[in-house]
Amino acid sequence: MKLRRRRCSSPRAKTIRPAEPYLFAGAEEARRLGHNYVGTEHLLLVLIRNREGRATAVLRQLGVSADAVEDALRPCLGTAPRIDPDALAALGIDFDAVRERVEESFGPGALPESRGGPLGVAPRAKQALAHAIDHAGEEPVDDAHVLLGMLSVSDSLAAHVLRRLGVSLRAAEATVGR
Amino acid sequence: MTQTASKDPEVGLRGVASLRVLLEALEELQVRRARDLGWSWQQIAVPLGVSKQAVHQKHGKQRRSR
Repeated sequence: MKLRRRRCSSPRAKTIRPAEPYLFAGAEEARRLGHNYVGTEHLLLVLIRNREGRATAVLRQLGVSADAVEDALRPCLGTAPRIDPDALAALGIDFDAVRERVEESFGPGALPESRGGPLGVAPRAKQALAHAIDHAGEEPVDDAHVLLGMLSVSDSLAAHVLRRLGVSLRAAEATVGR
Repeated sequence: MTQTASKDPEVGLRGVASLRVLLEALEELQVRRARDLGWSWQQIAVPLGVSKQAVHQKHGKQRRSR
């Protein structure tokens, strides 16, 4: 097969629209974890949740189970920062009093206990999806392309985790191409 | 909250995280109100003690998406 290695080059795809379903699925994972951005870690979760998908198949052929990926990923997924009234009380801050005053000025519910708002897309996740589109070429973007896309962004969290499990871009490309 | 608990790094760290979330939420509320009242980014930046660019970059985009 033809090797298309783009470890260091920037993706050619100018829009990530063809890979948008992955972005939306990643956003769902991020929300579930209470994160306020979509990163490659969320995209990787999307791939391993799809047990019938091509990415899990490629990983399986490389001797890596979806569970192993999830275990390796878990310590990297911080919990979302939230307001803990007890921890503030330890600092002498009465959060209920703060909330009361803020609501006086800004209305009820102005102060959420955890971060809400629109999700951002981490630059590396964007790059990974652009690479996925490059890998797909004329085909529709699928799980295997997204896996290769993430591995193409070598300093992404997903690439780090996968490399630790022994999955390199070269090995994954060779398996996809088989 | 007991004396012992306040010496626990876990509680201290959660306190720091709580302050950060509170700070971000308050900043957003205040900046949005100032903008609604017609304040310029420059006027908002001065009391915040940051550059006009910093405050615009942080809050300008969120506003449009609302």
